[in-house]
Amino acid sequence: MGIPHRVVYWNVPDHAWMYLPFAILCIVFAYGVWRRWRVWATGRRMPLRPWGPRLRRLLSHAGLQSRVVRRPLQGYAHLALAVAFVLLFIGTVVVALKADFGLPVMQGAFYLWFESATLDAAGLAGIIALAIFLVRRYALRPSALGRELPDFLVPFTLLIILITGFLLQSLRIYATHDPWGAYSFVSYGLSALYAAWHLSTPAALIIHRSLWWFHLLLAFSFLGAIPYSKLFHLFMAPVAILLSDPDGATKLEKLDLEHSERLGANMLTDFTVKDLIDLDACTECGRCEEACPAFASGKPLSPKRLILDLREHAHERPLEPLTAAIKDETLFACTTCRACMEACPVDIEHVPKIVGMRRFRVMEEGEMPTGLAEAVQGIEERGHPFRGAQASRTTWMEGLPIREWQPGEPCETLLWVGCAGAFDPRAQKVARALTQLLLAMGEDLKVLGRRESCTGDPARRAGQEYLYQMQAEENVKTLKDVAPRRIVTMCPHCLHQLRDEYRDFGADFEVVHHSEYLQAALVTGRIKAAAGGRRITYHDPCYLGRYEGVFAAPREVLKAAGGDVVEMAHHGPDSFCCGAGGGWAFREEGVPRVNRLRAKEAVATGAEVVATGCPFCLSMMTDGVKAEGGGEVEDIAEILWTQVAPEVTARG
Amino acid sequence: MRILCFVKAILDPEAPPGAIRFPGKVESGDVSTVLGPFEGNALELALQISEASAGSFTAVAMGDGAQDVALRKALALGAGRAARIDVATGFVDPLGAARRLEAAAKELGGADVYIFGRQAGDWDMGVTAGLFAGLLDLPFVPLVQQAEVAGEGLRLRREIPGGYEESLRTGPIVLSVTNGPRTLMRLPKVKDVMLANRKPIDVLKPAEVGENLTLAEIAQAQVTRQSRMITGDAASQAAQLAAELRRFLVTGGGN
Repeated sequence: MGIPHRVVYWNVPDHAWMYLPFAILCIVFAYGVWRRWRVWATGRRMPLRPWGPRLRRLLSHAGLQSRVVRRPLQGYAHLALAVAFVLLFIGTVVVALKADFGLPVMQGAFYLWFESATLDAAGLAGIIALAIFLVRRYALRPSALGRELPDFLVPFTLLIILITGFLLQSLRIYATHDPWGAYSFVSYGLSALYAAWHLSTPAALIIHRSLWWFHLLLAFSFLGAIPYSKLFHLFMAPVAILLSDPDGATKLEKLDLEHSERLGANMLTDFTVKDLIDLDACTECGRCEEACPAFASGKPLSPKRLILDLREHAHERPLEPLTAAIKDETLFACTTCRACMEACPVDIEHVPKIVGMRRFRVMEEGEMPTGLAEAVQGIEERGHPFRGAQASRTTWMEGLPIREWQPGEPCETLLWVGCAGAFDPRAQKVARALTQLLLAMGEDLKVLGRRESCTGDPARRAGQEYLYQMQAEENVKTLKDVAPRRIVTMCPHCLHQLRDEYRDFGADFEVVHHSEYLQAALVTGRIKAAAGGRRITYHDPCYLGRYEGVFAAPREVLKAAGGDVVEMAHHGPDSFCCGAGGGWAFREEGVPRVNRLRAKEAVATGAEVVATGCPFCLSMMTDGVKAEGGGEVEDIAEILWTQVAPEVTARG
Repeated sequence: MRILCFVKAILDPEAPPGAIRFPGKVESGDVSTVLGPFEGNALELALQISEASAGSFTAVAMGDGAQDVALRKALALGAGRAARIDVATGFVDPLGAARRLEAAAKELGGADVYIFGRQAGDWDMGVTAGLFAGLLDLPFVPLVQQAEVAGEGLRLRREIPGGYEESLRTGPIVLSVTNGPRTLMRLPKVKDVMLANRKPIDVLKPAEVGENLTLAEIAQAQVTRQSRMITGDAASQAAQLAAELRRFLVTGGGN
């Protein structure tokens, strides 16, 4: 028998003709890539260092497909298919090394265990994965998956390529009585069938030779189609992941207002290279759409559609303004909750693109939806977005033993109340509960009072970067004067600004959300809570959870307050927005409202209390839960204060 | 068309109750100064007419430096020039104000269209535009909600009960503008806001007009609120509410 091997191009004496379609494939492929590259090349360059976090993300999200496998069935099927094709590609390269370069690589144990057994296993795994995909898309028919012709052709063609590969191998084994055929266990099994059917050798030779050319041309066609279809994600998804912001793009880019030729994005050239590559990285899996609160509530925004519309625009009308592709109703429907970005397996950054386009509409063209415009005007004119507020910045604290910081005095703990805490009657109660908790801990507590002004977050998310930057600069200046040892805030939007986005304006303060601060105080025993016993479900505010990564602390506080914490269908990083973000807190929403969808989930848990850690979520969830017939909605500070107050009273 | 648009910045009408105090005079505390609501309508109309007639407009305010808020907004919206009649901000005698505005208008070279907001959002008198028209001996159309350039003149629309009326004027005219769907002030573009912050504001010396009226006293009404929750089932709540309303109508709200 000699050294295990097989004859390459067996039964295909005229195989040299294959270099003609191969050359065509190379040209078609190169043209397809160039067509897309010339779009990417128009994007703005962005800083890439440090590479470490990017490479780690690449390994996790592309190599291990950690986000893809969050949906186990289709996720692991996708991982199996990807691994299978990497192995099959290596196998093909080995064949080429032998056939075209005469290297003796395809023989011996490597031939038996890799080229035969492993590749058969890979092919089989690929067929199973593709069958799962096809069944899911066409039998289970999830709405987020498209069912256009290309959606069918891609998996179907791959399936035919794999099946014909097995048929070719099995015919060769059958016709040559390959002594090592059993290592190719799938093909070997098929060849046993031919024996049972008494397939004649001449017939096997003819079928093999015809099928070889069919398989080759189909595979070349498939490869050639890659840069012209969603298949391009094979190459572009890893690039999109590598270029994605290692912090998850939670911070918006600080716009250079003085020197930007155009404020915001209205031409492709206003996007970054990463933004443009994202368009070609989209696999159309629809996970963003399934996670999107705007889409779920029937608003004219699907994050997937947005990316695909921009992709079409980029390739068909690259010199036209983006307003031709994306309508205002779509742009301003976004709550900036980041659920789409958290769900995207290939790290497409939807929200920065949306805010970029909003910036153009708002700052260059003066367009902003009613309600939002008034809120932003409120920030400009009186430092807060609440229309018709009956309170001043210090009304909420009347009767409490705290006072405003005075210039020149030191500040240990600064309570950043936020506009909601100061002006919204419901949130004022939270500010009072939190203050009482902090005082019970013996904190040396100050507030800014009249010196506090909106962080500008609603303006920034709405696209009014100019006003935002003025607010940020003013607030950072104030805070530098105060120089507090730490800042505690009850508003996740303020937290995100003070802790992260203000860094671009020279801020470097220790800023904590009240849930984090209260949890630490409970752990160290600075406050003690009496036993509770209510069944509580916790709604993760997007800006606390997905933006700031605070998931555990509020739950720990609720447990310490004796709560029996039950989870909603969507929680943690997969939490569902209350509907207030992106300026929606100040706008009139149609039906169905996002908060009603979220409240349904909360009520379904059977919890007596819905807890949250954001004044805007509190307001939205209060309305929603009431309408859905649920119980109380409270901030974690209120729930904890209910359990702490008796202890404080007992101590006197 | 040459247009003069008169604007005024006022103490924030959305300031919470008690933030502005009146111990014999106005104490504004931390309350910010903002463009008056009807001046926003006036600016919008001035902008529309100047765009339609391929011209520009000049914004004029009267008061101290606090008025620059209104003038900067006008510049951001597209005013070609901004001027402030430098007097102390405070109580306004309408005839004195109209005379000063008349003098300023002359100094600025006059105009074809003089545009006012229907009334200042603080003193709410709403007569300065009419007095100004009288001083200039010009026709006056109050409470305009829509204006269109028609040849050399203007077609002006006002709302009347159940419909509208339109008047046509060729030649100089004075208007006051009120709120309406066509006079909602647009948002200025940020680049224009940034440019507006660098543009000069001309300061005009006030004309000597003498005082016709002076402020003798200003005081705030004492408002007390009484509220209580009506509880019980729907029928009982309805009965209690009806009883409360009956009592309120009889006693005028007293106990």
